[in-house]
Amino acid sequence: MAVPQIPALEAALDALFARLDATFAKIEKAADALAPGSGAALAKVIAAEEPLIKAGVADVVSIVAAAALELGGAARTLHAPVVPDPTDSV
Amino acid sequence: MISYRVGVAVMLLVYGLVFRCGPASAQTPAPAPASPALYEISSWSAGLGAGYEAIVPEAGSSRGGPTAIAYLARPMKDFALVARGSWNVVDGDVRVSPGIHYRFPVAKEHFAAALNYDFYAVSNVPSPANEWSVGILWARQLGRTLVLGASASYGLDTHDFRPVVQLTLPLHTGRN
Repeated sequence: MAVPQIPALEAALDALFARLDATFAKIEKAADALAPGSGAALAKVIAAEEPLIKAGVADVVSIVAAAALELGGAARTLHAPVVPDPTDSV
Repeated sequence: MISYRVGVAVMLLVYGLVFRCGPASAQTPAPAPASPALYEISSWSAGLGAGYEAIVPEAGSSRGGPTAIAYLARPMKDFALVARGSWNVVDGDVRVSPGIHYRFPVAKEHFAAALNYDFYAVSNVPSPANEWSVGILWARQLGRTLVLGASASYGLDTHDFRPVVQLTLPLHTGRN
């Protein structure tokens, strides 16, 4: 599904990414305080995963559309298939 | 700061939409679907567990402690309605988080993104405000019963980062 370009959403995502970057920096600093050198290793892992994380966050519009379909369908019929998943407990 | 009342209203609206009064209110009754009704207790999952929850605030020192956990979930296809409660056994702090999970498997591992509204009942003063949070969850079934899970959530008001590691025992798993 194509993600529509919404300037307000783009700005909100940019702000969220800036917060994410600040949070990552804080976590790296905390890791360094616990074990010197681990912050750099963590930064490397985060840098490798960052495009994936940001793509996932930016896909939020598609997720909201999917939620509207599934939850809307459930609201209309009051029925929904049950597909248990381990993450239901977290 | 996002108001506590707005959070409650939105969460009730979402739940109300899903659980609104029966098909009788619809103009044309829908054909009986094969999947179970949302209000059928057997379609819900529930369980108990234990874990460790930490709080990494935007400013100040980190803290954390062991917690007892209970959850109630209505699994669906890609989404799940989930209410999770945790009680810190050391300082008595309670967090109850109703929300919605969106699952996304990665390399056969179970991941989900969560949008929750966190309610706090905290023994310590000052008590953190209730707030919206977003999180990433991971879980793996261990054998036939236990589920190992981990999550990282981020408070949209406090900007606190909350990593959690937990082990849960499903008492009932929702079924079709």
